[in-house]
Amino acid sequence: MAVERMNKFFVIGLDTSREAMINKLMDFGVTQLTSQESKLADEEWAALVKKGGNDEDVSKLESKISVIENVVKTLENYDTTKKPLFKCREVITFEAFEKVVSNDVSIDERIDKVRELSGRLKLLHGNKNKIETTIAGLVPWRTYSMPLETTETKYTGINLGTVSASTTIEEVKEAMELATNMCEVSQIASDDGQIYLSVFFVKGEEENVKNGYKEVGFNRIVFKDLEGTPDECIQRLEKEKEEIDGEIEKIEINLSEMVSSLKEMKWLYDKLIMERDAAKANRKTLETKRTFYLEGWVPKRANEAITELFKEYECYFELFEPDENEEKPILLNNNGLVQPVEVITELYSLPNSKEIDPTPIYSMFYLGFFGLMFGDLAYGAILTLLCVLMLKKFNLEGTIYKLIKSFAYAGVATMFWGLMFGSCFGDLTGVIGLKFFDNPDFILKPLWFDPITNPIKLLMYSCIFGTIHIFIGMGIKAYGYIKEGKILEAFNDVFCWYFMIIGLVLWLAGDSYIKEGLGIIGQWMTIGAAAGILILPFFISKGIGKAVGLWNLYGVTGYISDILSYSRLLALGLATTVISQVVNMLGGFMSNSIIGIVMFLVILVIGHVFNFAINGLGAYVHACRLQYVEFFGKFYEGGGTPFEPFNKKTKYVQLIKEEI
Amino acid sequence: MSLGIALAIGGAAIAASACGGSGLGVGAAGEAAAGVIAEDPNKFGQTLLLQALPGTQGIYGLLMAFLILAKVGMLGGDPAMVTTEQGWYLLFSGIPIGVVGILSGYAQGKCVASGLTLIAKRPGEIAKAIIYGAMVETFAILALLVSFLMYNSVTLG
Repeated sequence: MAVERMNKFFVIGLDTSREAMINKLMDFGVTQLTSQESKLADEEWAALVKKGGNDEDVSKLESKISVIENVVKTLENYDTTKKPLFKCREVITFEAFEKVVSNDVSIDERIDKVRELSGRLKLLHGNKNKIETTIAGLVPWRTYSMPLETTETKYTGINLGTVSASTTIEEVKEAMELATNMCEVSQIASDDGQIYLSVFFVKGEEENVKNGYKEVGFNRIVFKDLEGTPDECIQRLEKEKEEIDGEIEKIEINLSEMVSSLKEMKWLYDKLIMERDAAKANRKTLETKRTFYLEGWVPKRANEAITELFKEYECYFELFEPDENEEKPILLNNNGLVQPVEVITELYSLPNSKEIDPTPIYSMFYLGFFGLMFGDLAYGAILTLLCVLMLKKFNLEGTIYKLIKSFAYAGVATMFWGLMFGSCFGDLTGVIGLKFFDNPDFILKPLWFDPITNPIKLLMYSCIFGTIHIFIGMGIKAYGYIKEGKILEAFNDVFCWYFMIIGLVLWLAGDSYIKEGLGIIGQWMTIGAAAGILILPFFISKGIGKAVGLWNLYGVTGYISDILSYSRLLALGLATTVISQVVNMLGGFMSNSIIGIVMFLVILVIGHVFNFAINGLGAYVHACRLQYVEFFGKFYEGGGTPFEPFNKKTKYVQLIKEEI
Repeated sequence: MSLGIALAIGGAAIAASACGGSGLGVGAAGEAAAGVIAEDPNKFGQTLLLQALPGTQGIYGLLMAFLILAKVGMLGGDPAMVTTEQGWYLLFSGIPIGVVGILSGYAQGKCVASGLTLIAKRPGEIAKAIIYGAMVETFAILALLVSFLMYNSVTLG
């Protein structure tokens, strides 16, 4: 139950069996190997052993893995098959897997081909870009009829360039005239930003022309590597571009043909991942000339299996309980209803090695609160159905599997509260009865009561549920104190507050709501508890800490706001129901003609899908929040490091043993 | 039509203005979400989830507006008898969710936008980003509750 008990092990074996054993351990997937760096820093150890394996093996495999990763990414862009909603690992037998990946030479060839093709593709795209920019630069010069490579004749020089469009061609001409009268400026084209000019001048006037340029802000443009008139150049470049386009298309066809090898490449990727992990595990061993040493964690449950394994390889080994104060890797182990809710704990933080797993304690509250806030028979049924379908259709694992499964359970809780409050798509049954059959008795009767007509009752119950929830959280804290022998602290922090809160409620509401005479009992309970909270610190703390009780008493506001926070159960539950009712009402306004009925259905579908999505999200978020803030806030520290077993961390396939 | 009904409609209008806060909030979150997507398009689902969070204030406002309109019969086309006092009651009942909805919707949007930059770097921490957003939403829920209790205490004769 709860947090798995961990044992430590160390094992010394013969070097000849090291590789086989590491592979077997990966196959088992129940151990977490620990790095031995600290031992090597110890002189006594360092004199005897050195680190096993080498980094070269690991980095070689890693570079190969990253090559395949890129190739797979490239090919996935050309994969036209529909992508599934979730990325799932394919389940295959080890034998089938071995058969395919053992042919890695041919896969390697194909990988190289894809790399080459995609490399060329990149180059071609680069060239195309370059041509496109050149063309864009040439387009304004289209009407210029001289070859671009001609920058001078025997007696004249020719310059091309631009001036800013804020001046006019006349101004430019005038200014150039002033600088020298031996030049001819003509406008080729103009656009919003610039005027494109050609300047012909008599040789020997270069200095004067340059001064004129400065005057008008002339930017000279030199076309390199281009021959012929701009128009000719553009035509030639367009043709080149077409050729490149053709080539790109060919390569892309080639690449999409390669998609058929994608599966094998993915499998090879997984094989290399396993090899790399084995090499990494090897780095965690210590070795002498003929032996190796390995250390790690193993769940106590797996002790027998691991013992057998070590015996098989004729190793010397020891399994032992870790030190009480040692940080242990955390593995949650629950079953049934509780197991999927683990994901909520994991999303927050794993318990640290001194804490218990809170999941079994709060899982019912989580599901119950979710159901209360979503509270609708039909919505719950749809949620459960959707989740069950997803679990059936996809091979989900890990977090996403637990999350979907927890939603399936939450759907059941939602159905429960829907029945209690008499809500099925809000009041849809009633609306349909009234609209089509003129019969007002189609209403789904609540098993408990209708929160819309009696919200105060639900508000009260929300706070009661909340108080129980918080009290349990505080109870866990008290348990922790008592285990450490701090009885007084338990009274100060927890039990006094139980009395205080119950007393306050009785004092304020006991007489008028429950039974005459309870008010006075509540009053004395409150006073007694307050006295306890004031006095106890005198026995617990030293010095100035003795007065801390006065400050603690102020904590009553915190408890009250915590309990009021559970009013969201009512508010969000109402939101779901009222919005469904509004949707039904809007649909109900439609007439009873064919078009009216179609409109009725359209409004219902859109409205309820919307309501389902937004309130489903709300119920999930706030059910989590009530655990995280109100419940965990009372006792939970978290911060445990997860147990990371040394197993097959394959990305695309899930390997299983042959089963017949 | 009486002054009472006019006042009640005013209450519905105030309640519905909570949508403005949601608009601002969802907008702010959307801007941040687009930035995250630019880096990694695979996070679309996660970012959409976060972006939807500040949308709830608008829903709560809408809910109160509908409730008020339904109570005074403005949705069925058959206006009820509403005295001026009752009209004021209903007007005031729209204020908590209207005002708090605008402010908290906007604040939640900003909070979620920061949460989005968090998941850009650490996709695994989305739960924490959601919870930060939910902390802001608490106050909109409280306002909705007060609005609803006020609204619920009015019985039209």
